[in-house]
Amino acid sequence: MADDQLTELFADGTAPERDTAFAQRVDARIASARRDLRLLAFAIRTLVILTLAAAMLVTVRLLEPTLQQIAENSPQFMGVPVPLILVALAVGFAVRAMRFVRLRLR
Amino acid sequence: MSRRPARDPRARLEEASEELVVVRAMTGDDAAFGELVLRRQKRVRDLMRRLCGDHALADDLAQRAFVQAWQRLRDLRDPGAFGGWLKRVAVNVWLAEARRAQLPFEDDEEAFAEIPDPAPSPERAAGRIDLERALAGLRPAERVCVVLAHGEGMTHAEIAETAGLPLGTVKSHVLRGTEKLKQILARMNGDG
Repeated sequence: MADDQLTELFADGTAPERDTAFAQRVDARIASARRDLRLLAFAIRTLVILTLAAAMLVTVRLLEPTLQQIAENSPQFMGVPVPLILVALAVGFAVRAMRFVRLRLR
Repeated sequence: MSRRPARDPRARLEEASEELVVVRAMTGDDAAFGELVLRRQKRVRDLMRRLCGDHALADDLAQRAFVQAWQRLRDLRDPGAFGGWLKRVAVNVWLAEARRAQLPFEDDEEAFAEIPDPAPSPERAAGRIDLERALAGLRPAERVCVVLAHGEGMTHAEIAETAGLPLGTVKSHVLRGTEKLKQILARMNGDG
Protein backbone atom coordinates (compact mmCIF):
# COMPACT_ATOMS: atom_id res chain seq x y z
CA MET A 1 0.00 0.00 0.00
CA ALA A 2 1.35 3.46 -0.98
CA ASP A 3 1.57 6.39 1.46
CA ASP A 4 -1.09 8.36 -0.52
CA GLN A 5 -3.53 5.46 -0.16
CA LEU A 6 -2.88 5.42 3.56
CA THR A 7 -3.48 9.19 3.82
CA GLU A 8 -6.68 8.73 1.80
CA LEU A 9 -7.80 6.07 4.27
CA PHE A 10 -7.20 8.48 7.14
CA ALA A 11 -9.22 11.22 5.44
CA ASP A 12 -12.40 9.20 5.86
CA GLY A 13 -13.63 9.33 9.47
CA THR A 14 -16.52 7.54 11.16
CA ALA A 15 -17.96 10.38 13.32
CA PRO A 16 -20.97 12.28 11.92
CA GLU A 17 -20.82 15.95 10.81
CA ARG A 18 -22.48 18.67 12.99
CA ASP A 19 -23.81 16.19 15.58
CA THR A 20 -26.14 18.29 17.78
CA ALA A 21 -26.63 15.46 20.30
CA PHE A 22 -22.88 15.40 20.94
CA ALA A 23 -22.79 19.22 21.24
CA GLN A 24 -25.62 19.05 23.80
CA ARG A 25 -23.67 16.52 25.87
CA VAL A 26 -20.63 18.83 25.82
CA ASP A 27 -22.94 21.72 26.82
CA ALA A 28 -24.25 19.71 29.81
CA ARG A 29 -20.68 18.90 30.92
CA ILE A 30 -19.67 22.57 30.64
CA ALA A 31 -22.72 23.58 32.72
CA SER A 32 -21.68 21.04 35.37
CA ALA A 33 -18.04 22.27 35.32
CA ARG A 34 -19.28 25.86 35.64
CA ARG A 35 -21.43 24.91 38.68
CA ASP A 36 -18.41 23.22 40.29
CA LEU A 37 -16.23 26.31 39.65
CA ARG A 38 -18.86 28.62 41.18
CA LEU A 39 -19.18 26.37 44.22
CA LEU A 40 -15.40 26.31 44.63
CA ALA A 41 -15.18 30.12 44.32
CA PHE A 42 -17.96 30.50 46.91
CA ALA A 43 -16.21 28.07 49.29
CA ILE A 44 -12.88 29.92 48.92
CA ARG A 45 -14.54 33.31 49.50
CA THR A 46 -16.37 32.00 52.59
CA LEU A 47 -13.15 30.49 53.94
CA VAL A 48 -11.25 33.77 53.47
CA ILE A 49 -14.01 35.80 55.19
CA LEU A 50 -14.24 33.33 58.10
CA THR A 51 -10.43 33.28 58.53
CA LEU A 52 -10.27 37.09 58.52
CA ALA A 53 -13.18 37.32 60.97
CA ALA A 54 -11.53 34.80 63.31
CA ALA A 55 -8.18 36.64 63.09
CA MET A 56 -9.91 39.95 63.84
CA LEU A 57 -11.77 38.48 66.81
CA VAL A 58 -8.58 37.07 68.31
CA THR A 59 -6.69 40.37 67.74
CA VAL A 60 -9.46 42.45 69.34
CA ARG A 61 -9.59 40.11 72.32
CA LEU A 62 -5.81 40.35 72.77
CA LEU A 63 -5.68 44.13 72.40
CA GLU A 64 -8.84 44.84 74.42
CA PRO A 65 -7.10 45.95 77.68
CA THR A 66 -4.65 48.23 75.81
CA LEU A 67 -7.41 49.72 73.63
CA GLN A 68 -9.57 50.36 76.69
CA GLN A 69 -6.68 52.19 78.38
CA ILE A 70 -6.07 54.34 75.28
CA ALA A 71 -9.78 55.16 74.99
CA GLU A 72 -9.97 56.23 78.63
CA ASN A 73 -6.83 58.40 78.54
CA SER A 74 -7.27 60.06 75.10
CA PRO A 75 -9.24 63.25 74.30
CA GLN A 76 -12.79 62.80 73.05
CA PHE A 77 -14.72 64.42 70.21
CA MET A 78 -18.52 64.46 70.72
CA GLY A 79 -18.14 61.63 73.23
CA VAL A 80 -16.06 59.42 70.86
CA PRO A 81 -12.30 58.87 71.55
CA VAL A 82 -10.22 60.73 68.90
CA PRO A 83 -7.91 57.70 68.10
CA LEU A 84 -11.05 55.71 67.16
CA ILE A 85 -12.14 58.48 64.79
CA LEU A 86 -8.64 58.58 63.25
CA VAL A 87 -8.58 54.78 62.75
CA ALA A 88 -12.04 54.86 61.11
CA LEU A 89 -10.90 57.65 58.76
CA ALA A 90 -7.68 55.75 57.87
CA VAL A 91 -9.64 52.56 57.07
CA GLY A 92 -12.09 54.57 54.95
CA PHE A 93 -9.28 56.20 52.95
CA ALA A 94 -7.50 52.85 52.52
CA VAL A 95 -10.64 51.19 51.11
CA ARG A 96 -11.21 54.14 48.75
CA ALA A 97 -7.58 54.01 47.57
CA MET A 98 -7.80 50.26 46.94
CA ARG A 99 -10.92 50.73 44.81
CA PHE A 100 -9.23 53.51 42.87
CA VAL A 101 -6.13 51.36 42.22
CA ARG A 102 -8.28 48.44 41.09
CA LEU A 103 -10.17 50.69 38.66
CA ARG A 104 -6.90 52.05 37.21
CA LEU A 105 -5.54 48.53 36.74
CA ARG A 106 -8.54 47.38 34.66
CA MET B 1 -37.69 53.10 4.46
CA SER B 2 -38.31 49.41 5.20
CA ARG B 3 -36.35 47.63 7.92
CA ARG B 4 -34.75 44.30 7.12
CA PRO B 5 -35.92 41.48 9.44
CA ALA B 6 -33.35 40.53 12.13
CA ARG B 7 -31.54 37.28 11.28
CA ASP B 8 -31.28 34.33 13.65
CA PRO B 9 -28.03 34.76 15.69
CA ARG B 10 -27.30 31.01 15.38
CA ALA B 11 -27.51 31.23 11.57
CA ARG B 12 -25.16 34.24 11.67
CA LEU B 13 -22.68 32.22 13.77
CA GLU B 14 -22.85 29.32 11.31
CA GLU B 15 -21.81 31.64 8.50
CA ALA B 16 -19.11 33.51 10.44
CA SER B 17 -15.41 32.76 9.99
CA GLU B 18 -13.89 30.46 12.59
CA GLU B 19 -11.56 33.20 13.84
CA LEU B 20 -14.51 35.46 14.60
CA VAL B 21 -16.39 32.64 16.36
CA VAL B 22 -13.28 31.87 18.45
CA VAL B 23 -12.94 35.55 19.45
CA ARG B 24 -16.59 35.61 20.53
CA ALA B 25 -16.17 32.36 22.47
CA MET B 26 -13.09 33.86 24.20
CA THR B 27 -15.26 36.70 25.49
CA GLY B 28 -17.56 34.15 27.15
CA ASP B 29 -20.20 33.71 24.42
CA ASP B 30 -21.58 30.20 25.04
CA ALA B 31 -23.44 30.07 21.70
CA ALA B 32 -20.13 30.78 19.91
CA PHE B 33 -18.38 27.96 21.79
CA GLY B 34 -21.33 25.67 20.92
CA GLU B 35 -20.78 26.54 17.25
CA LEU B 36 -17.08 25.66 17.60
CA VAL B 37 -18.05 22.29 19.12
CA LEU B 38 -20.38 21.61 16.18
CA ARG B 39 -17.70 22.54 13.65
CA ARG B 40 -14.82 20.66 15.26
CA GLN B 41 -16.47 17.64 16.90
CA LYS B 42 -16.05 15.32 13.90
CA ARG B 43 -12.27 15.89 13.72
CA VAL B 44 -11.75 15.50 17.46
CA ARG B 45 -13.96 12.39 17.65
CA ASP B 46 -12.27 10.80 14.64
CA LEU B 47 -8.87 11.50 16.20
CA MET B 48 -9.96 9.96 19.52
CA ARG B 49 -11.55 6.94 17.81
CA ARG B 50 -8.27 6.25 16.03
CA LEU B 51 -6.30 6.65 19.22
CA CYS B 52 -8.59 4.49 21.42
CA GLY B 53 -10.39 2.14 19.03
CA ASP B 54 -13.39 2.22 21.40
CA HIS B 55 -16.13 4.59 20.17
CA ALA B 56 -17.82 5.10 23.57
CA LEU B 57 -14.52 5.92 25.31
CA ALA B 58 -13.43 8.07 22.36
CA ASP B 59 -16.62 10.16 22.54
CA ASP B 60 -16.21 10.53 26.31
CA LEU B 61 -12.61 11.70 25.85
CA ALA B 62 -13.67 14.07 23.05
CA GLN B 63 -16.24 15.63 25.42
CA ARG B 64 -13.55 15.99 28.09
CA ALA B 65 -11.27 17.66 25.52
CA PHE B 66 -13.97 20.23 24.66
CA VAL B 67 -14.61 20.96 28.36
CA GLN B 68 -10.86 21.50 28.89
CA ALA B 69 -10.76 23.72 25.80
CA TRP B 70 -13.64 25.79 27.25
CA GLN B 71 -11.78 26.13 30.56
CA ARG B 72 -8.49 27.15 28.91
CA LEU B 73 -9.80 29.20 25.99
CA ARG B 74 -8.45 32.44 27.53
CA ASP B 75 -4.91 30.98 27.29
CA LEU B 76 -5.19 30.83 23.48
CA ARG B 77 -3.08 33.70 22.08
CA ASP B 78 -3.93 33.49 18.40
CA PRO B 79 -7.62 32.83 17.56
CA GLY B 80 -6.49 31.69 14.09
CA ALA B 81 -4.55 28.80 15.67
CA PHE B 82 -7.62 27.32 17.38
CA GLY B 83 -7.62 24.10 15.32
CA GLY B 84 -4.03 23.14 16.18
CA TRP B 85 -4.47 24.18 19.80
CA LEU B 86 -7.64 22.07 20.15
CA LYS B 87 -5.80 19.10 18.63
CA ARG B 88 -3.05 19.44 21.27
CA VAL B 89 -5.68 19.61 24.03
CA ALA B 90 -7.31 16.44 22.65
CA VAL B 91 -4.01 14.54 22.41
CA ASN B 92 -3.13 15.57 25.97
CA VAL B 93 -6.52 14.30 27.20
CA TRP B 94 -5.80 10.94 25.50
CA LEU B 95 -2.25 10.82 26.91
CA ALA B 96 -3.62 11.47 30.43
CA GLU B 97 -6.17 8.66 29.94
CA ALA B 98 -3.41 6.33 28.60
CA ARG B 99 -1.31 7.07 31.70
CA ARG B 100 -4.33 6.60 34.00
CA ALA B 101 -5.20 3.27 32.35
CA GLN B 102 -1.47 2.39 32.50
CA LEU B 103 -1.23 1.62 28.80
CA PRO B 104 2.30 0.50 27.90
CA PHE B 105 3.23 3.86 26.38
CA GLU B 106 6.96 3.18 26.66
CA ASP B 107 8.65 0.58 24.45
CA ASP B 108 7.14 -2.87 24.92
CA GLU B 109 7.54 -4.86 21.71
CA GLU B 110 5.39 -7.84 22.65
CA ALA B 111 2.45 -5.97 24.16
CA PHE B 112 0.67 -5.28 20.88
CA ALA B 113 1.99 -8.02 18.61
CA GLU B 114 -1.54 -9.46 18.20
CA ILE B 115 -4.34 -7.45 16.59
CA PRO B 116 -7.15 -7.14 19.11
CA ASP B 117 -10.59 -8.11 17.82
CA PRO B 118 -13.19 -5.62 19.10
CA ALA B 119 -16.95 -6.01 18.52
CA PRO B 120 -17.88 -5.69 14.83
CA SER B 121 -18.44 -2.05 13.86
CA PRO B 122 -21.05 -0.89 11.30
CA GLU B 123 -18.18 0.25 9.08
CA ARG B 124 -16.70 -3.27 8.99
CA ALA B 125 -20.14 -4.76 8.46
CA ALA B 126 -20.51 -2.44 5.47
CA GLY B 127 -17.31 -3.91 4.03
CA ARG B 128 -15.12 -0.84 4.56
CA ILE B 129 -11.55 -1.24 5.71
CA ASP B 130 -11.57 -0.86 9.46
CA LEU B 131 -8.68 1.51 9.98
CA GLU B 132 -9.46 1.85 13.70
CA ARG B 133 -9.10 -1.92 14.17
CA ALA B 134 -5.83 -1.96 12.26
CA LEU B 135 -4.50 0.94 14.37
CA ALA B 136 -5.32 -1.04 17.51
CA GLY B 137 -2.55 -3.43 16.41
CA LEU B 138 0.07 -0.73 17.01
CA ARG B 139 1.65 0.13 20.35
CA PRO B 140 0.13 3.31 21.87
CA ALA B 141 3.24 5.45 21.25
CA GLU B 142 3.44 4.26 17.61
CA ARG B 143 -0.30 4.75 17.18
CA VAL B 144 -0.28 8.38 18.33
CA CYS B 145 2.69 9.16 16.06
CA VAL B 146 1.14 7.45 13.00
CA VAL B 147 -2.31 9.02 13.58
CA LEU B 148 -0.89 12.52 14.02
CA ALA B 149 1.42 12.15 11.00
CA HIS B 150 -1.04 10.62 8.50
CA GLY B 151 -4.43 11.63 9.93
CA GLU B 152 -3.63 15.16 11.09
CA GLY B 153 -0.78 15.98 8.69
CA MET B 154 1.54 17.06 11.52
CA THR B 155 5.32 17.28 11.10
CA HIS B 156 7.64 15.13 13.21
CA ALA B 157 8.66 18.19 15.27
CA GLU B 158 5.00 19.07 15.94
CA ILE B 159 4.26 15.48 17.00
CA ALA B 160 7.30 15.48 19.31
CA GLU B 161 6.06 18.68 20.95
CA THR B 162 2.45 17.52 21.23
CA ALA B 163 3.12 13.98 22.50
CA GLY B 164 6.13 14.94 24.62
CA LEU B 165 8.39 12.39 22.89
CA PRO B 166 11.97 12.91 21.64
CA LEU B 167 12.20 13.80 17.92
CA GLY B 168 14.25 10.68 17.09
CA THR B 169 11.67 8.44 18.79
CA VAL B 170 8.87 10.12 16.83
CA LYS B 171 10.69 9.57 13.51
CA SER B 172 11.27 5.91 14.28
CA HIS B 173 7.67 5.40 15.52
CA VAL B 174 6.22 7.00 12.37
CA LEU B 175 8.45 4.90 10.10
CA ARG B 176 8.02 1.56 11.90
CA GLY B 177 4.38 2.21 12.80
CA THR B 178 3.48 3.03 9.18
CA GLU B 179 5.15 -0.16 7.95
CA LYS B 180 3.41 -2.21 10.62
CA LEU B 181 0.04 -0.59 9.81
CA LYS B 182 0.47 -1.40 6.09
CA GLN B 183 1.23 -5.02 6.98
CA ILE B 184 -1.82 -5.26 9.24
CA LEU B 185 -4.06 -3.70 6.57
CA ALA B 186 -2.67 -6.12 3.96
CA ARG B 187 -3.35 -9.04 6.32
CA MET B 188 -6.90 -7.76 6.93
CA ASN B 189 -7.46 -7.56 3.17
CA GLY B 190 -6.13 -11.08 2.80
CA ASP B 191 -3.07 -10.00 0.79
CA GLY B 192 -0.39 -11.06 3.22
